[in-house]
Amino acid sequence: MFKRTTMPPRKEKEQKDSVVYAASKRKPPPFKPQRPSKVPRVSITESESSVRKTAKPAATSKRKTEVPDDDDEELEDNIRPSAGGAEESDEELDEDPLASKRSTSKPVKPTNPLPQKRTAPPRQPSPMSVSSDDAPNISPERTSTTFPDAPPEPSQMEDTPSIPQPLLVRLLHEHFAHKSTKIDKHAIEVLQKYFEVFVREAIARTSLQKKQDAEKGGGVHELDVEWLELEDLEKVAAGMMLDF
Amino acid sequence: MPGLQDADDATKEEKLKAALWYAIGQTVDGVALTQDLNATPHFIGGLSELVWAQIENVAQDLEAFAKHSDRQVINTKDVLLLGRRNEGLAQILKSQTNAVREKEKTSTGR
Repeated sequence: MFKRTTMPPRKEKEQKDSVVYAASKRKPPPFKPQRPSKVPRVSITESESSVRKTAKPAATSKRKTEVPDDDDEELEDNIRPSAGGAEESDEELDEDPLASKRSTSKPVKPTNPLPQKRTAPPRQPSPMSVSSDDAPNISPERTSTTFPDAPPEPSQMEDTPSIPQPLLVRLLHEHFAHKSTKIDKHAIEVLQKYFEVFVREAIARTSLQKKQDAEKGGGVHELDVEWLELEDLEKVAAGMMLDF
Repeated sequence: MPGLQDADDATKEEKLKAALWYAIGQTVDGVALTQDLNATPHFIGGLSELVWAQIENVAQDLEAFAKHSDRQVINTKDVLLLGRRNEGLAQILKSQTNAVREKEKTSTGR
């Protein structure tokens, strides 16, 4: 439920609208990555191809990702024994929007899907291939947080530090009634995630609140919209405490 | 000397809050960078207080959960219970639990 509040279902609407366009079947390149919603659609055929992909992920993802998938599996085998496990693969899931569709728990992604794709363009030497490489670089954060149907985004502790473990343990122990209470290692890691989600949610709700206020024209200056202020946090604090 | 004790507690709490403030600031900066947002220092301070309060709640909840099943050690089951009122959160916590377990397996497997 709280996922929905962070984002309006903007993307879905766009999809439905643009599906109407007649399909130019030959045109779509074989491995167009999903486009981020924020990036302006350049041409009709372009958006059409990406829309077809997002509209029926189950059907299309098989066909379109055939080649990358093969690469993935090979790499996966190379990487899995050496890699540090779930943490690393989570990070990778972030980088590939398609991957997050398949499953979040499966530690599948190779560590370098982007270089792989960069070598691919010979198949499809259009100017678009450049922008398509850039797109996934910007998108992962955004698609995972703005796409309503996406499964919960995997751990992002690498890029955004959560509360450090020792600090969290210390703070918890400050508040335990009995000194003998302890907390196990796995629990603290999950708890770290909990607070990461908490903080992210607070930020997301605050910025949404700010935007809504601005739309109402409540005297919020345009430049102020991206500045999160204490007043905006106060407005969402009650809801936060109820939902967590 | 109760008075001195209180003063010590106060400074300790202050230090902990400062540490939390710093940590939250880091997180907020990280998130803000990726989403083209800016946060005022006031916002970060307020959020820190919010998180502080939440940690207090959570600590007491977790302790109660563990006690309820006659344990002194809080484990992941207790943490999963924190998501009981929020479906999406429960899902995230669950997948995180699995991820943590997987990681443990792979690191102890070799």
